[in-house]
Amino acid sequence: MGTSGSSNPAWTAGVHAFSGRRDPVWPLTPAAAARLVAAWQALAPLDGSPPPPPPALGYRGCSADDAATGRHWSAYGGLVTCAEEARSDPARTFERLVIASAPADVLPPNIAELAAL
Amino acid sequence: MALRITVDVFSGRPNPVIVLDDDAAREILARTQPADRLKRGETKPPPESILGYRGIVVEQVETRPAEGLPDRFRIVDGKLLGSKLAHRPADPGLEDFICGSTGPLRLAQLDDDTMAMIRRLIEQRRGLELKWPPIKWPTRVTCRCAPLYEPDWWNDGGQKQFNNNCYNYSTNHRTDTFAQPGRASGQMYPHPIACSGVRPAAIRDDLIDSPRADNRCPDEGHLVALVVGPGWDYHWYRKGRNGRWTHKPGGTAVTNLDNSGNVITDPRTADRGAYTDFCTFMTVMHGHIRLK
Repeated sequence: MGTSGSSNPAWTAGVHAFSGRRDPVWPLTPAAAARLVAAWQALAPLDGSPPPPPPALGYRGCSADDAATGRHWSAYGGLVTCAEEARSDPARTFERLVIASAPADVLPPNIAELAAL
Repeated sequence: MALRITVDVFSGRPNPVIVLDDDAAREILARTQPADRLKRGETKPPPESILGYRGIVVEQVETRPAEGLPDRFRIVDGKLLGSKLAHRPADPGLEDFICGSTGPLRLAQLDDDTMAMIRRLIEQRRGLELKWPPIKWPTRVTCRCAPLYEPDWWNDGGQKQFNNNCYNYSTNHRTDTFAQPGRASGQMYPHPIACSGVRPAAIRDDLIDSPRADNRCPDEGHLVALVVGPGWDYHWYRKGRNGRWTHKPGGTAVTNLDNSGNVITDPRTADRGAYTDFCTFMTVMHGHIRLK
């Protein structure tokens, strides 16, 4: 388990949950990246207050990066942001897709519990 | 009979001091005679380490102290405070009298502006008292060998913050490598992560296991605490000079709060999220450890 990845992949994803160990980052397949983009496009703009921020210790959300365009998404607790844009994701689809895209053994087996998904 | 009276008001300049004898001293003592005893909530001495007017210190010199008054006492906010003294003075306007335009402070030959300023400060001081929170004084350094809490140094949003983790922060040892217990010794902790693996790995880095520390600072070095999220991660806290604990969750910012937003007095009882296993306290001897 740990940080993994190929050299300069176009798309990467990661989970932010660790303290002692580095947070894992892994390359995304084009299909997984396309699913994330589709999920993002299906989300409605945030209406109302954002959810509470993550705690200091433990699961703090996940992220995806497109190196080709420089776009970076962050997702936590039903909120997904990209640059200045914030969208509501009450079903936490984006987070679920990022976590599902992780190769075997990169994330702890209890990640769903840690992320309260 | 003589009285030395110091108006405790300045910071940079010497406080004005006057010495009164004979009739002048007797008049002050008459006005100072203890009258009503202060009520329970009024007897606490006011904070002395403040800028501005802090009271009038009266010392009885070259004679035996007058009855009912210690040889040194303070008049502030219309109270007499000293050894076995917590009373209102016979003259409730005593401070105004001493510092008034015809009072004995004129002997200090202060200029008019300074005299007026002292009178204003006395008035302001009266209004301030009720608004002030209680101040513990003197401040006690609980853990004199512990590192300073200087989160801004670590929270640079760059190299230091992202490449130093809880282990670096707790040991106060920057490596920029996201240090791992045991890696410097050539044998890291095993998986799955558990107290039984991380604790010996830290000992190999020359941290000293202190399971009986019971949240008390060591005489030398500083105290850290190891906790584990079984099977997936570990985390460290460090005890600071004020006895409170701080930590750095991974590459995020240093904080003195737990997951419930409370200051951390004991990592065993703090809200640690999924780091459910408290492993042990350990001691870091500065300069002795190896981290990589």
